[in-house]
Amino acid sequence: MLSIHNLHAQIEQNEILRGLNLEVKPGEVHAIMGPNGSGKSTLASVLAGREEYAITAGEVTFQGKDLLEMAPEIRAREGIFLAFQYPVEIPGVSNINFLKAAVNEVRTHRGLPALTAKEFLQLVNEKSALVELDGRLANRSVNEGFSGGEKKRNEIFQMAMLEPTLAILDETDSGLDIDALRIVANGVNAMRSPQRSFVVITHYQRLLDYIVPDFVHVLYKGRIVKSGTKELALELEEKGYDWIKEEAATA
Amino acid sequence: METTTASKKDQLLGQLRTRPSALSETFPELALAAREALTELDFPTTRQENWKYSRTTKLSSEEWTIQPSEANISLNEWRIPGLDAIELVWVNGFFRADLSSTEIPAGLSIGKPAPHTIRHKEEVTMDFFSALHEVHCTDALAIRAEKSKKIEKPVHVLFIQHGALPLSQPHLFLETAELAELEVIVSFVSVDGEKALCNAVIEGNAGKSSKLTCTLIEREGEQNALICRSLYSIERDAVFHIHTHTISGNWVRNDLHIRLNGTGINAFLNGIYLPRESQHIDNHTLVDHRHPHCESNELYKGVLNDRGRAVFNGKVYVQIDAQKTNAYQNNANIMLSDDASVYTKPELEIYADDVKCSHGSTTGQLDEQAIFYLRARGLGEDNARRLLTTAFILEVLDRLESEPVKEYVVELLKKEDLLLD
Repeated sequence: MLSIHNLHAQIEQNEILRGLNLEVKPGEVHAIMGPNGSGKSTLASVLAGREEYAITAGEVTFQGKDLLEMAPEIRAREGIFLAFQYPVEIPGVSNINFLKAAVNEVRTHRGLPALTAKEFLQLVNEKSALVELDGRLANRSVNEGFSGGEKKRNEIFQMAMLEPTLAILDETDSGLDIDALRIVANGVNAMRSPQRSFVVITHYQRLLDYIVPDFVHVLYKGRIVKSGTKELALELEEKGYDWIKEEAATA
Repeated sequence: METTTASKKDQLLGQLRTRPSALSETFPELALAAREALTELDFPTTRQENWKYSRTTKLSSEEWTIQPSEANISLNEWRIPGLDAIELVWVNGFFRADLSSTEIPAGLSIGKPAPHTIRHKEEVTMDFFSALHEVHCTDALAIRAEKSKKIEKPVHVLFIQHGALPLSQPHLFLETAELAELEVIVSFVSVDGEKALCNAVIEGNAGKSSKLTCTLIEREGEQNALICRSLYSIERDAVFHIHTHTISGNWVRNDLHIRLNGTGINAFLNGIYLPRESQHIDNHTLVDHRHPHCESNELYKGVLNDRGRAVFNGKVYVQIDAQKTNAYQNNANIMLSDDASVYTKPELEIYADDVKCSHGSTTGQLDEQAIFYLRARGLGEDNARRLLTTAFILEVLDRLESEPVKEYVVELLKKEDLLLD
């Protein structure tokens, strides 16, 4: 589904990703962990198409297509979803109107008819219940005046509405208390399917108790330096990242 | 140095000399004062503080003439859908009874201004254009809601500019007597016109505990210039709303002066301007708090594109007796192009010591983070930008109480490709 080969990316002359390789197959959940500044969020940004990053080498294909050639909105319509680490507040734009426009853009791209007002509202009710999002929040301006937890739940709500094939969760757990974390994880788990893949970027092992990954990768200095199963996350939680850094230094 | 060619001003005045004024018989003293002032005044230059960013060369270089017109003009395009209004149609500054509504509801009177009408004397000689208007006013009409009458139907005044180089100088008097209610919409439009200068004055007086609403919809032609002076006196406990929408026109100047002459007044000033291509739009507002316990709330927003230019100058005076005043002013601008420019200046002068006053002025680009967020959800870049612009503008339009008028303005903006469908 997603194939990243020797990816190099930089911002303002600083090379952040330095030859990253990653292979994600349909239905798999990959966790990407790593110390601060290792390039985790850069990877999410590059996959979503943030233009501040320059790709200097490597390729990324998504369902056989060259992802790096696509504008951010085309990636979204093709089925990539990024749950933002810091969801943006957009005053005056109603969450619902914006989502309706987004859902219909995505549907048009996939050759599906636009949803009727009734179908759309049904979908909103169903999906907002999934993340226990108060119906009133759906009618407010996008993320404006939302608490940190509400913003993250709103991200997962949007994901559920857009039904992507690949979801990238960029530190969705940061700033969440246990209850909110559980709700967000339940939303994600409800969406797991043999056709849908997830890349879960996190700093903490805790999230992986709730969203159990098939693979865990450690990103360090812009490269994946170690891969394993969920036990690797537990080991990192216990021992920290120093041993990874040492291994990387001697390799 | 002596010059043999007459100045632009002398050319214009010479050409207008034989034209009588629709105001001079009723208000002879003001006509005299204006005539005297005209000997000194000339087309404003950017050396004058009030005109610092608005050049008038485009206005002084044309040979305008006063042109009464008999043209039969279809009004369909200019009506507001869903709004059952009393229509008062003017062409080139002259009232056209033949094109206007004939049924006037009880409690509303429409006719020539009476000599005791409240005038804004200071503004008559404020500058060249105001004196020119007084001395050569093309036509004047007074619209008055009688005491305790709520006029259910709004009045829609259509100022139409027609033909080549007309100078229109129409004058409206709006009045709500004590406890009366009146809504007036004024449209400025151009029909089969090439260039026009409309130099209009609207004077209003909202009586005690009355409610007066005036909505300006400025849709002048691409080559037209418009000067619109709105001068209001508001009495005790009255509620006053004014909405100014500048949608098209090459060069537009709006002056809005509001005097709060009593206690307990609520005044709301809202405006939008959207200069693009080479349009120039200037809004000068003045709210004068003279008595305690009044509130004024002002929100003007601009979206600037291409080489569009805008000026916003918002004066608020809080006089020494105007304790417990609440005065809020906000001006926000979005620049969609590197070549657009805006000159914005709030001016608050506060002489009372127990008041709440605030002002804010912001100018910037659309939020790129928000655009990326919307694109990451599948919205195309153009739509993402338009969605943000729409939200920005709707904050002002949402303050329109009349649903048909709001929808009409939204439709006009969509047609200009400024708002999202």
